[in-house]
Amino acid sequence: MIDFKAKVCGLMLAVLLLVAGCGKRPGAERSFQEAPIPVDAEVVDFPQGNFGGRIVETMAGDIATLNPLLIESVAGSTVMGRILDSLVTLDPETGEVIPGLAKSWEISEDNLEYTFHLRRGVHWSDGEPFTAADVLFTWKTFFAKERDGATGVVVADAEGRPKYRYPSRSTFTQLINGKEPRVEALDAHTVRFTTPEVYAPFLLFGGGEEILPEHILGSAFENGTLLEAWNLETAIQRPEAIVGLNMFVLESYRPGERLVFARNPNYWKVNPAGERLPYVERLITKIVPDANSSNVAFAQGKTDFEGIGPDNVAWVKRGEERHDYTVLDMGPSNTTNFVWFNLNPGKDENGKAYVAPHKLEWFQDKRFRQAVSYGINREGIVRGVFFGRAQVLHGYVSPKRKFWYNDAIRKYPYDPERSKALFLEMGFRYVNERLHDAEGRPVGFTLMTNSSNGLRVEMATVFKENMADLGIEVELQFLDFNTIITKTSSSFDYEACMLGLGGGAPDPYAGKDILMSGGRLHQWHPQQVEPATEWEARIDALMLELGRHTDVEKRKAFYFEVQEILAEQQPMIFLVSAKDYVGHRNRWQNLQPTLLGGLTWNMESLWTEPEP
Amino acid sequence: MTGLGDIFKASFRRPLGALSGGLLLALYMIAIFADLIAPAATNEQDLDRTYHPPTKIIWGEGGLRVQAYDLTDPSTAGYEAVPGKSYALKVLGRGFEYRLLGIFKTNRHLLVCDDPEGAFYLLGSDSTGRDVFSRLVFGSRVSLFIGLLGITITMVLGFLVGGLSGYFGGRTDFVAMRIVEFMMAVPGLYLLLALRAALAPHFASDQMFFVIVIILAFIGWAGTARILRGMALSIRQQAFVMAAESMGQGPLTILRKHVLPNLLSYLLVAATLSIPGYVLGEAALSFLGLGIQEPSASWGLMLSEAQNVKVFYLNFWWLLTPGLAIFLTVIAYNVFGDVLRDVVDPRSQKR
Repeated sequence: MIDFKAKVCGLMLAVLLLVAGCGKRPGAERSFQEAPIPVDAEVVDFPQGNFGGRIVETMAGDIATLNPLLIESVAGSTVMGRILDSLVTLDPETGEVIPGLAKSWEISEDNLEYTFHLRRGVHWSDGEPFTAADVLFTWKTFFAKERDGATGVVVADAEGRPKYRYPSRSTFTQLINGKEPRVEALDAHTVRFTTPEVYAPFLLFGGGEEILPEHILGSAFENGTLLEAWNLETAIQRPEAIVGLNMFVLESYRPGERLVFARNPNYWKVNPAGERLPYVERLITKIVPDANSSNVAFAQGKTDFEGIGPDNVAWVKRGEERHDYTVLDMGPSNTTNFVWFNLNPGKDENGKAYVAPHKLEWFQDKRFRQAVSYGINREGIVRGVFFGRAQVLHGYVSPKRKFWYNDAIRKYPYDPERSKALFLEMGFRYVNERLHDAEGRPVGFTLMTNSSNGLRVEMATVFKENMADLGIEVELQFLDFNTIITKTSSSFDYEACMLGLGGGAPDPYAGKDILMSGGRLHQWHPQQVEPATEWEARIDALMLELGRHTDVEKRKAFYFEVQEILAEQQPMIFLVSAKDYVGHRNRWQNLQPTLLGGLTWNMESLWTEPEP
Repeated sequence: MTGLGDIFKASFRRPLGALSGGLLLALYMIAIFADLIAPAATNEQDLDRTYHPPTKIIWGEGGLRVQAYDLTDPSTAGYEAVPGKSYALKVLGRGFEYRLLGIFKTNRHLLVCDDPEGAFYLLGSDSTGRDVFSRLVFGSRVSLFIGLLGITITMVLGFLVGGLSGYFGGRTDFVAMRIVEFMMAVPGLYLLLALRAALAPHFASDQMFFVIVIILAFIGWAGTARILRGMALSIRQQAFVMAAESMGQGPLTILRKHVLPNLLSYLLVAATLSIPGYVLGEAALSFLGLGIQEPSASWGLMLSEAQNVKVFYLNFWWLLTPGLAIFLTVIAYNVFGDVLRDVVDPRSQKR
């Protein structure tokens, strides 16, 4: 009898284990209820396709967190950009602001009030409705203040500014000249923002914020643990807790290995037949150590979509037929490479000047910077180092930003004779083909750059040789990226540096941190209290105007002048801008690559026959 | 006891010894006369001819000529030979100016193409159009002399510490051997990486050469010291040392006159066999981006450039020649070291 009982128990246990085993299978555990198709669903105008495909791609570098308030890396924001969505987005063809979660909006006469009408019937991936409360919640997290427990008074920091409870990048980027915009819900589907002053990029910057789910993060916000929410542990243990409004939800995450996304069953876009998108069932993102190995994986036909480095295009193209993929030239990219001289006249705490005074004197003379600029063989770099897959960069704005690109700025074609003439004009002399300054000191400086970027190392050696032709001795210093950042942003003990900038928001005002003299990224002399030079003061004024005006033509005029000043003064000596190349496997349908949106801007409409 | 000259003579009399010794001699001659042998300066770039394949050398019009090439596909660095077009090569022609052996100012080079149109790349060109052969020749200075310099420091330190502690014994010996154990316990690679990172901002890339040698040598002496101490201990018991002591000679004199000659053959073999370690160490560090840096040339650094995927996919095989150079040097040293050991130790020869 006892024996029999034990047997039954054993059997039941086995069954339970089996069930538990099934439950552990990815996907089976999800209890997402599928909400009805939203009233205001966006109908995407692409031919109807088949459901069930799978995208495989690679990502260089792992994620550090999935908390949108903490994400600083490209990898992290790419991943969250798949899950979270925003009120507005950009047209991949024209670059104009187009509806996202907001189906329409109005801007008041005085350009201060922005009223967004949210799409009705949209649901979060877990089935909860999306309302104006979520938008309010999102903005509340940016600007919530630390309050004294007893008195309820806002705690201030050392400089008298209020202390934020959850200081994030958004907290600071959304402040408009130090003041907060006001947010209110007019009804469940209408939100109004009021900016403290006219602020042209608000529609894009404010409307582009990714909306957070109040029903998931609300309790963490109340009990002060918001910054610990949605960490890597969440992604590993409970990926279903990370809910969103975009086309994918996280299904599983293995650190250093891969991320698997499943389609969001409640996505708000439908195909012309009224079926809910996206077509693909899963998106698998493999984590690889660097861009080169990512390119190798694509060239072996292992991934579906890929951005290809300019120096890798030649060999990736060779596999086009064998592995049935296509490599596309997407034209100039947003990335820029440049050299700058340290113009910081300050001293460290031991009273030692950051830059030796006589060198600072050279660097501060704009003719010196212009002469260096004339002496760089940019065409040679494009031809030799990039195999012709880059273009000469004359100014701050990459030609990719057609609308904001000023072609009439002063340019510096390769002309060593002109450089020499400028040096002589400054009172410099040549002794045995070596350049000496007016006091007879030989001219030379140290250029630092990061060693991890092969193309940049090559550019640096070309730069050194170009300078040697002008009689200037350049000492190259290859450091790791973090050391460089420490030097350029806090210890300031360097003479010249070569780095690159990539990406960036489409509104020119996004560059204020670099261009304005008080900016954190105003590399050549950051965080100035008062602009050190007249031209920097002029740029500051122009940038403020750029933010305050909404008239596009006026803004363009301001920005064009900024570019002209930068070109004349050469605080940043621009070198080249690599071209963008992308590759895709030919099995994908509905692909419509655009220069701005790239390859996968319409990922919800991409489809392929499911693999057997 | 045979003298140094006899040892070398005996080594060169053996076929393997002559081969490896001759190769080493040739390599060092190349390093010393690098300026004369290299057709181009280390940093002479040509951005119109990056990743140029090795140029063919042909005989015609009464002299050596170099085949002309055209860049047919700039996007993949595709070059094609132009039929019937070539440039004259001059023996002892004019090139960049330098001082031969640091004394005689001249601009003559062993083999150059002084036609302004022509390009002479014996082993192709690299990512900025620099001549790989010239860089290989100049790089040999770093890669070959790093071993000699390092081994000198190691052997001198090893002999002093090992010899003295073996000779004196007792407390000196105890302290010295504990220091040696401490040095041996330091994980070399990590110390190197850490020191390299810490020192990087203070040294220019060519000074880094010396810094690396010194770091490598200061870690490496402990093992030698330990062995020499054992040998000194046994020599100390010999009658001739006792005799010298009783005649009132000082310890340093005894070390120099009586102990050192007895250790010489061991030192020679040990040095020869551990030089490859330095050559490889330099290569490894430069390969990791921690050794010699651009634009200076060293074999390790050149090899690290060849690590790029495009080198393999586009078949820029000539960028791998520094690997061959390292291989030859290391093999030559090892073989020569073996021959030396056989010569100085007749017992192992009979085995």
